[in-house]
Amino acid sequence: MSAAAPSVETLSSSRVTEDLLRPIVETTWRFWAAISVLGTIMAWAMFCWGYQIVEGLGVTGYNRTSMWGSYETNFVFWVGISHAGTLISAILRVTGASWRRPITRAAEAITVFALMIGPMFVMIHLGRVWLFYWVIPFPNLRDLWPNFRSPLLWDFTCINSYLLGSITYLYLPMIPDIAAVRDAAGTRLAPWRRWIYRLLAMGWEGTPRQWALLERAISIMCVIIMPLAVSVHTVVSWVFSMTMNPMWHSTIFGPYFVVGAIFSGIAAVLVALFVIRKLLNLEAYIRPEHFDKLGLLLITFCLLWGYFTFAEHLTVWYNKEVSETAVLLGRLSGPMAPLFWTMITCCLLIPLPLLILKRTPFGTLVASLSVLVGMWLERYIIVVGTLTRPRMQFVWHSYTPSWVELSIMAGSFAYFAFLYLMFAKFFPIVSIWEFKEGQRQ
Amino acid sequence: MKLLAVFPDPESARPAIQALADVEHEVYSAEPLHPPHVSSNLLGATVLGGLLGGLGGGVLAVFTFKTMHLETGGMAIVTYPPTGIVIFAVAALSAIGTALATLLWEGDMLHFRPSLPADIRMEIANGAVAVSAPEESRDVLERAGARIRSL
Amino acid sequence: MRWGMVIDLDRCNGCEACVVACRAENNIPTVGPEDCEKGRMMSWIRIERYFEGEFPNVKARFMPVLCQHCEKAPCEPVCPVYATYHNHEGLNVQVYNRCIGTRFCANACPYTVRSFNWFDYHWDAPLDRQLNPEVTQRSRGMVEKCTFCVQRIKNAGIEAKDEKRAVKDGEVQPACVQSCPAEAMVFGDLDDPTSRVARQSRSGRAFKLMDDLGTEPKVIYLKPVDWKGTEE
Repeated sequence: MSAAAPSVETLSSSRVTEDLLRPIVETTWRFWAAISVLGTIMAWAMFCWGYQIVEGLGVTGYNRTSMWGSYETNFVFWVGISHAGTLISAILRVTGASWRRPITRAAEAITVFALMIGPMFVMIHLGRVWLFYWVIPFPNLRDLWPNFRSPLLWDFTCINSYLLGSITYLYLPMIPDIAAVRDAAGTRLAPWRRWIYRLLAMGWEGTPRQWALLERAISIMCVIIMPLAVSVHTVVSWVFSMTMNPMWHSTIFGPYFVVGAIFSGIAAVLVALFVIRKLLNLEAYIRPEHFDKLGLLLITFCLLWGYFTFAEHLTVWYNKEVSETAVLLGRLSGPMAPLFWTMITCCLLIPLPLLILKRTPFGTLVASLSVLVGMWLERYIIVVGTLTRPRMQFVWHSYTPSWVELSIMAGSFAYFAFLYLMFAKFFPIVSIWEFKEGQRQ
Repeated sequence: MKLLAVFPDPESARPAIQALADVEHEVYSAEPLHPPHVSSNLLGATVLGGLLGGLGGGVLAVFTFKTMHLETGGMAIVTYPPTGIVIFAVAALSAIGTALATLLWEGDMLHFRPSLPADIRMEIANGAVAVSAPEESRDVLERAGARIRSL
Repeated sequence: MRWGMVIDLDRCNGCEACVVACRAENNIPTVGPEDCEKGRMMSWIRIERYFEGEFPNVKARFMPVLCQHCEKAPCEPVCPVYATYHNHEGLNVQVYNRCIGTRFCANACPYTVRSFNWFDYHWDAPLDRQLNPEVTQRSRGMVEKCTFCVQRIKNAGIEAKDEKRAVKDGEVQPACVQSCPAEAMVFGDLDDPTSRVARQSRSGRAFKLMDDLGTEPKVIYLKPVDWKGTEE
């Protein structure tokens, strides 16, 4: 299918606009089929969550030893995926890498939606979720205030800033494209959709002054969003490393989690790019060179992640400290061993051979899916592996996720796919003006 | 009396725009055409927004605790690292919000009525460039190959 | 004033009367056999039993483990809504109606002494008539743990204030201390050098659980003495 893709230079401006607006204007049966399937999974997950709220958290597999489990794993996983957009958009923009142009918006959209789903899991794991607003510092007459010494509050503050910042960072470069949709496709859309674009495009005219201001604002945003992204996943990792639990209380957790986040984020972007390239016929825009270059980044972070993992396990193994060795042995040869070795296979042994010599779109897709599975397992092993081997040996106990947890997890993936699908239906998933600007250069 | 000249692509519009350099004119395009250096307060406003946000974060993390008289049995209630994290996050959010607000204000974007007619805007979205100029520049624009409309 | 406890492991025989008494005093629900299989037992104090040696020289060691009310409790700074804190009498306090159930405190505790209400538990009639009216019944979604029977501490304090005197040593006894048939547990003010608990805590057999972690627990254990004498 990609053999017939025209080269970038031959695409005329109106052809670009038409191609990139087609998914917005035309709706095939496949869209409705996808919505139905995803909607069903989401509805089932909502029912399960409702059931959990009414009955209590006992419907999960959690117990006294493993007070955290799959929900917290999912939370860390989704917040990790959210680092995709920042890396590709901000870092590649700042370094002037021109190949980023068609893929920035797809990556930034992943960031925003992953950041919406991660904190949902924080709410799902609460015992009394109807009181979640107590972590918000609002003035009250009862001398109540949240505790800013708690890493969970740091999570709340940083993720809040990063989510609002990412939404802004997604919106800013989208303004000219929303105006393009309003202008080029307005007559072919229903009135209520036209109204949305008119509202969001605000007073964008495309004058040189507005372009200069927009590009400057985007550059400023790049610089702010990068440290914010690093701080978010560092703070999420500190939820674990600020306790004194064996193999949690590790100084490497901050950088380890950030590297792991970028690693899984790049994998998520590659999967999303492959899917939208196929489904929306964007072979001319998302080209094999993107998979090639992102694949190189994936290898880099794969090796970096492998290095951190090795360092972490080596230092624990060498020391023979009783509590930490118990956790380590649980991972290497105990109950966690099948998951641990699957993780090593999925994160290192499958992606590296697939990517090292030649990076094709399909090869990168397989490697990325493997990485996503492996990184989910990594979070699970970190959370559950330590909690099932506490310092007091008498209370060691195993943990298995229940059907409620698995349903809600499936629902979260369906919700993410749904949000992404709706985004691609309403806004151009490839940035029109950036692509044209790149053509001109 | 203002004219609206429509060029089929940015390359053909460029010489005409250069010729109009000393006349008051406005250009409308769907991609940036080597925009000029504009003086704006974006950077300054963002930094100021960040500083004010950081101050707000500090107030949130320090002052509110000190006035709440919370019991800790000896452990400190206000410590540097959590305060630092809160200040950083709120400062970043405030800087981002200020940057967005300044952009909308300075770019004159706080309205919803586009000034060009719909058919011209459709052409611009497909790659055309429109230039609005006073009546005196009519022949300059016609020589450059534009289609002229009176506004 | 710092409330503390001394547990003499030489006297403890693992009968678990303290566990039962704690249940009765503090309205701790019975979770049922299925949830126990899943590891959700709800005892605020548990008797840990360790076996030492090979048959026929096997020894069973019993250790009651309850909330240590650490001076530098790792569970306190991590609660996002400030539901657990240290009060001026040295107690690690859990405020049930503030808890939103993040369970961060339970994960941070190295002694694993905190339990969680996985469901709304009910007492079938007539067991509901046995509930202690001075202790809150917890709803689902809250963390709970040993409070050193704070209701008894408060009652003693109120009585002492009425009679315009200080609380006497030995006047306050949590349910576990009161019910131990071997009198292995002693409770009192560690800051009062003449109290029984302070005197026993200075014993040569005294040790604290995992005190190298720096949590400064206020439950002091006394090592059991093994008699290595001859038959004569």
